[in-house]
Amino acid sequence: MAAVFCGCGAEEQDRTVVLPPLENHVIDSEKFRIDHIQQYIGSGYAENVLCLAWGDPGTDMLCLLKKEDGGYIYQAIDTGDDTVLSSIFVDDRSLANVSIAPGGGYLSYEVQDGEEMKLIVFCPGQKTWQILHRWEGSEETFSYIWSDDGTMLFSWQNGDTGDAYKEWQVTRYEMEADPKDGFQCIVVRFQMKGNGPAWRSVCPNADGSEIYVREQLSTFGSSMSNEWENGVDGVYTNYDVESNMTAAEVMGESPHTCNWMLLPDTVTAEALPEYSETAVYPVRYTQAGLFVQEENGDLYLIRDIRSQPVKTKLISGKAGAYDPFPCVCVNGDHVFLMEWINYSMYQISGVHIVDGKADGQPVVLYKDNYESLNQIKIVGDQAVVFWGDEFLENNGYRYKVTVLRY
Amino acid sequence: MYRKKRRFFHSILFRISLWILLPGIAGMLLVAYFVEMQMHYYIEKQIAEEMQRVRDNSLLYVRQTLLINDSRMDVAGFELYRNEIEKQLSSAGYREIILCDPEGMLLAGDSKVFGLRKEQEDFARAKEQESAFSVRYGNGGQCEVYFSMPVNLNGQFIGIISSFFDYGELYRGQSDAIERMVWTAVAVFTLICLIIWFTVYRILLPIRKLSRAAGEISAHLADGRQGSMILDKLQFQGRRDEIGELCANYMEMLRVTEEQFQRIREDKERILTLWSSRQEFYNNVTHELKTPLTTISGYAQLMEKNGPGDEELFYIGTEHILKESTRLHRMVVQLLEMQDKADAEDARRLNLAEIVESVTETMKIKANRYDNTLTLKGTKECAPVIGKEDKIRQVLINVIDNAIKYGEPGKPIPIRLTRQAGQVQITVSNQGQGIRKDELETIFEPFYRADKGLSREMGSSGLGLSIAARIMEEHRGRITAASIPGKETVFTISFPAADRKEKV
Repeated sequence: MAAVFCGCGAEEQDRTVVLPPLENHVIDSEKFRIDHIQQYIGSGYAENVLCLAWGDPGTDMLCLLKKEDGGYIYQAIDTGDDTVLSSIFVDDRSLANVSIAPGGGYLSYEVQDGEEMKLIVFCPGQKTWQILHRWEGSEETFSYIWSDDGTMLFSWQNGDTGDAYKEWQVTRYEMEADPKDGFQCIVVRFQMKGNGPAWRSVCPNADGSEIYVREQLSTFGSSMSNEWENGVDGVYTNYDVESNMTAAEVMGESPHTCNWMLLPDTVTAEALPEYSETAVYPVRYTQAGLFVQEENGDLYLIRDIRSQPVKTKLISGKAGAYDPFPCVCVNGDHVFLMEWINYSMYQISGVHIVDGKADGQPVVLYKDNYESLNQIKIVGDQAVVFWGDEFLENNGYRYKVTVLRY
Repeated sequence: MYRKKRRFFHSILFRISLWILLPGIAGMLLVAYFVEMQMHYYIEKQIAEEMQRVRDNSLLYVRQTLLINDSRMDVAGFELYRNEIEKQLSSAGYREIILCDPEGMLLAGDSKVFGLRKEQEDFARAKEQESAFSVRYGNGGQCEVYFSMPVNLNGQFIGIISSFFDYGELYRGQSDAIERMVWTAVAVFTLICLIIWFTVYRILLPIRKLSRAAGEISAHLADGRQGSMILDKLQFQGRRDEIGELCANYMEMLRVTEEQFQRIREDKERILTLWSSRQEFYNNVTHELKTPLTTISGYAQLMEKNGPGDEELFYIGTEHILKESTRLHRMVVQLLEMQDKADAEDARRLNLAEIVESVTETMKIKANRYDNTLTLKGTKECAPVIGKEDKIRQVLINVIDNAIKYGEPGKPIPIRLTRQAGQVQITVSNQGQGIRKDELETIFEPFYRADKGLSREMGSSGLGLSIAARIMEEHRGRITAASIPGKETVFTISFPAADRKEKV
């Protein structure tokens, strides 16, 4: 009966279907071509590797900090012939928030030293250390980002009062080589007035001369609103025992969002007009403009942010099951998206930005399986480098670095 | 049984069932077929979309594998790094991977699988640089997809990739869903059919009852038992719809028919009675005529035989012959009077009171002879009627004569004249044995006579009351009799009263 009602379901059938010719976006992939792919799979367990960074553009050097023999070792590896160029002991204490500067010239980390926390920068080339900042306790939250040339470290952290909602700081540490002491550090700190619980984003430009800062209350874009007091007490300077520091206090103007352009060279701050009606999260501040991402994954370019901001949509939606993670080159003309297709497969797509607009749809450049993908970087607007963990059969992981040169 | 079956196959219920079932089942099969086709279409569409992604990914995997290995993107590179490509595709979830060069020669993969695969159309298409997939639907819900594609990199055809994908789960899932849907539809359709069938059955039930009732009525039409017993069984008074209206009309038709039948039966009985009375009339006439003629004939023959010498016989015979011939003459006259219809032009205005008084006076002699007394009562005023005097007098004489003959001796015979409501009535009463109730209807028939023992006069013809009734009919009046046996009999003669202002 079922067979009768279900028609020919019981019969064997063979059909052949011819697919249409290749779609345009596959043909368009010729517009964005990867010239070379390099993969390096490190020895040892990935759990012991705290941080990785690619060497100077055009080289095959990989820099990493790994835990070994009860301490932390900085290694420079030539991935071309898989040889360790240098291996330097860094510290034997427990490290946190480790960050290696592009090119591997510096390494920053936090360390607990008795009751005191220290922010330290290590220069492997000269094997010297500088303590950039000290603070009591460990409750404060620090975030770090290196400039593209690897000579400036930007950090933003809670203020000294401990009231992170009302006070926070943005600091630029500029490293200068010094034949005597190895290197010196010039510190410029901006004392920020907070507006309450908020997303805070800091995006320095390529040479560190401008730092875009956005404070966005969690209620922004929703029906809730909170009023917070803003105030400014004027500009003041301070001096750190180990660095020259200039500081400025900055206040916000909007109750829901604040946008500033900090200019460390002149120790001044510009309040910028708001450019979005919805919540956005800054990705990269380049000479082409500010790249921001909305909560739904759409990527926008904000041009003329210091005068009359214009918000332009570049890429919409998401290709995979999760939001794409964008990565923008220093010139702002290449955008790469790291997207997880499913729980184990990801893809890297890329698109050209021409005159502030995306040149077609993102082209899938690479697909692979990863257990986890830790970081994606663009090196010298020549290659996109990402690394993550690959599962081993003996219940361990090894790190795998992939370099897509374009 | 066979007739019942035949009747069922010609019934409206059977036809409606057919009209619903046949198109319904045909529609269900058609829908099931199209749903199956649609399912295949959507599955193949879905597979086609996924195969396009597989094609894009495959090209990407081949490209990136060759890039990772610093290889040229040509036939040699594809052949050289076939194992790496196979590994990459395998890690991406491809199964039964076959890598071939542009000529279709196996580079990597299982040779047995390749032996089967190279015969398939999708593989042949791939050699012609077309991407295609073959989908095979199996008996057990299998849906196997074999995909073959050319590898074109940088405008160069460098090889063929063929692989297998199992879509059985998707196919089975959709098949199960469709099967459930179809069965649900079948159940709903069956339910609807049952409801319709039951509804039609309910609608047709009164018609079937009517039909049966009509059959029973037809069967009993001859014996006249079609009546209300059968109609009572129908009982559709509660329905107000068309069926109820039909039943009501049908019942009304039966009622009228029954009335007509009853009337026909009554008319028939009346005709038979009339025929019987006519026959009896003629029998009586012939009998009454024959009796005096027999007497006359008998005496005439005796007188002829004995001759003129037998004087005694001559006188006795002559007396009998005269008596019987007189009686015969009177009877003939009366018969003629019965047939003689009153001429309306001869009718005139009369004073009935005077006629009654005159007739009473005349009949008093006979009443005295029978030891009765005639007493005239009632109004003596003018009681005008239209009619013929001699006829009216004959009516009165016949009725009073009858009252005298059948009255008890020594009892008065009151004669009452009354006038009321446009009628002039004369009642003549006597006391005696009276008339039985069943005889009251027939006493006005010709030659009817009561028990001869009751009559005190011989030689009655039995035509008196019959003639009186005929005369009263001609005068648009009526004569009736009422009697209490053993006590009293009353004859009532009614005339329509004439206008009183007119002179008599």
